[in-house]
Amino acid sequence: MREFLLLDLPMVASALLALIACGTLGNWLVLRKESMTGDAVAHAVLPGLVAGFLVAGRHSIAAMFTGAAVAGVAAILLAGWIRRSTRLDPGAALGIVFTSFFALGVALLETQGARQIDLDPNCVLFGALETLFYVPPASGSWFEGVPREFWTLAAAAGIAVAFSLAAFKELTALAFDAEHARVSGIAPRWLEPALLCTVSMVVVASFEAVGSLLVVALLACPSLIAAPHASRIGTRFAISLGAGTAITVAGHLIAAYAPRALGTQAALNTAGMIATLLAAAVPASFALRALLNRRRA
Amino acid sequence: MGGNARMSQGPTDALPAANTMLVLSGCALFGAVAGAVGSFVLARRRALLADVAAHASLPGVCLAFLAGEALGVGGRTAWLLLAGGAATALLATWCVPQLARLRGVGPDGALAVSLSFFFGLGAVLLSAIQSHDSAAQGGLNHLLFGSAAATTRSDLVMLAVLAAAAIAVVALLFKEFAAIAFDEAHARVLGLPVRTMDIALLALLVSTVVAGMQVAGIVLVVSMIIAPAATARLLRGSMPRVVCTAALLGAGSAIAGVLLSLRYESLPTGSAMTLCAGAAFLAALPLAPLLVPRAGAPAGGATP
Amino acid sequence: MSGAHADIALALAGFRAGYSAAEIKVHDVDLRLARGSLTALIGPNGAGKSTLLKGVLGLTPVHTPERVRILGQPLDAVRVRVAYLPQRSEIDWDFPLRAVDVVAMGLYARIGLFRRVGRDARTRAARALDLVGLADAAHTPIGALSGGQRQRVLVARALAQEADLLLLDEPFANVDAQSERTIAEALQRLRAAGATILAVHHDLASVRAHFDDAVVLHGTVRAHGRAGDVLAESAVARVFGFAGADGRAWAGTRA
Repeated sequence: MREFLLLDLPMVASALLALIACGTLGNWLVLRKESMTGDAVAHAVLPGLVAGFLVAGRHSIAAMFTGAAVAGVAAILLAGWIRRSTRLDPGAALGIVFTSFFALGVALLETQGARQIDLDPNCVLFGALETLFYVPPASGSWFEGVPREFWTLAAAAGIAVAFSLAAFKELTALAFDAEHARVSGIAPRWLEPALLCTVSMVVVASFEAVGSLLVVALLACPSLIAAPHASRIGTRFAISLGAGTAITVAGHLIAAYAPRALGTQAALNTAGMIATLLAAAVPASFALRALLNRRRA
Repeated sequence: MGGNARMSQGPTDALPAANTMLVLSGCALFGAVAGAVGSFVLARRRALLADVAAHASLPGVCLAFLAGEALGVGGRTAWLLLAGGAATALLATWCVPQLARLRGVGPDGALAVSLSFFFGLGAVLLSAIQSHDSAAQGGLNHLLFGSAAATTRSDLVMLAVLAAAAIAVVALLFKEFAAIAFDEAHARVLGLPVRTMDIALLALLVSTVVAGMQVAGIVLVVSMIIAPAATARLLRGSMPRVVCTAALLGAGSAIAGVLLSLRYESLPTGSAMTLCAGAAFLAALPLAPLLVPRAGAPAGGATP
Repeated sequence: MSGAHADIALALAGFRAGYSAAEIKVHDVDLRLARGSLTALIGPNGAGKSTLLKGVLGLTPVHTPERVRILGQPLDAVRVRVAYLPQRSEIDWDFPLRAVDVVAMGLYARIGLFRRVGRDARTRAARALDLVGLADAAHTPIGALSGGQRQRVLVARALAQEADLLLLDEPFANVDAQSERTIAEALQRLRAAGATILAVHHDLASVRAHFDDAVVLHGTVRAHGRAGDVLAESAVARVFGFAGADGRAWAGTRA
């Protein structure tokens, strides 16, 4: 029981917070047919994130977010400028900007990171959920033992949910028919940039704990799992978060306990396990729907 | 470290590469192929698919490693890893259009799901291998971000073989690729086998990805496919010219990247190559025919 | 330019719109639509009809907003009072919404930012659906609707807005006969309530049946007046390329 509270609970809770943060905003992205935006954002913000840490130390969240914001904005502006002033098609412009930024981030990380800021590229990709356990503090109140990433994720999840609820109908209209939303004045001009900013914030917040792989999976898969079963937006959100929760818990349990049960010493990457299960659940969900439809007919 | 590449000893057939020149030639060849293939990938708007394919090679590489260990040939066998990587990469590219057909998923969703599944599976397998056998894991870790210094001779042989085959295919099918990239509908009308050509391009893409796995790394190899090609497109010209420029730029970036990463030990080769390719793009920007004609000159009348 | 006449719903003076400096589709457009008029916008392929509507709404890269007055004011001041029905929308009909949800979107601007969709809005939406004969299908997912029904849902969305000016791009395109009838009736009802309608229309044969007035557009305005008069004029024949244009459809005309 103690092991559960110290090890499992913080890990699962962090993963679930990431699910809430990414899964909520991810619904909007998927409905807008922008499922790969998370991937792009993760690529673009890395150098800024690393630079922030290098400047202000590993534990400065402010520096991390500021750096990431600067990098993200720079990437978008650069890609836009390239697109406008040359005849390169948007895919190519985005591709070269994002891969270059990511390469810069990896370069900074590998050459400076290990020494100074204790963040390695594998962690950036695959997360560090396994390290998010509770460390009972020697002195002070209990919540000082909670890993820092947990609080960052909690704040991100809160912001994501609040934003989605507040601008719910505007975001729905924008996702459904962007032209109509703009023309009839439903969606203010700042709404799309606000959505992109909130997504970026959530990606940055989730980077440390969960890694870019699981961030992409959490942004796209829960919503897609819900797609064949939901004929209303509210239902879609509910199913995506519900299914996502079940799969996240299952993924953690399998990654943590399956090797032991099978008698090996292997330590499996939790983020990867959850991502794989989430992705596999998408075609499974559609198959389930087809099965249910046939039963009904 | 100096200018000499330190070659690691791999199992059985992996002999230390002769010298830096060999590594540079191999990487230049890879860069050239990546640039050439990348021109068509860009033209067909398959950059994201290339990204997914590259990431999807990880689980195949891990499985091949495990198979190699189990069969006693040694996990770090070049051709085995390449074959494994190619298999899952191809599988992933097959999955994408299938998933895209599901209602509400679409091409973007299909890419995200495919990426999550295959790269996630790769993460799990990699972690299993790394926690088990720390002797072999270093070799596999290099595959993520690339390391010219860790290339073995057999790696280079495989790379050269694949690259040569790829260049041959590109040369053979050039006019078909170019026609389809330029105007797919017209190509279909002409009776060109568009589907077959697309499959051929995907096969070329996957070959390029696995060829470059060792030097550029799984995560960054796609940028060697995209960046030199993007720069070549910037400079415009006919398709043959774009492809040749991309090949040259790719080779140049690869060579520069390898040299940098040999000089700075901790800099992964993949990063170095990409940054060089990116720098080439920036350098080419002022040279390119810049700026679309400004709005302001009214056209005489409406186009009927 | 003065645009203070409240009885002119839409005033364009020297208006221009296009997709780039090299692609100006409509130019020197002078047009004044009286309030309560029901006008068809006709012209051959590529004449710029859709571009005109989009340009007025600011949806084209090149447009001249200072040359547009809607109810005497610039567009941005009266957006809530203008409704738009696009010709081909990027809508994904698998979107998880019911018909009534889509129609309610016509009211979102009126409801205001951050506020809930209340019962009043839902009632209005239901009423708009009734006007197009889809009262029974209100709670049907849009994925399950036919093409004609989907078009009617979009028309209902424009109706729900209770706009003073409606700009419709081919409201009758690809609809079955029943849908065509109900849409026509809805437009008549709107006009009776004082709204102004300008609709791109491709079928010359039905212009006089559905509309009172017509504007012939081919790069610029070639004719504007009562539908019957405009169609009989030789100007139309010249523009459409055949003699005796009275009411015969020009097959295949798309905006």
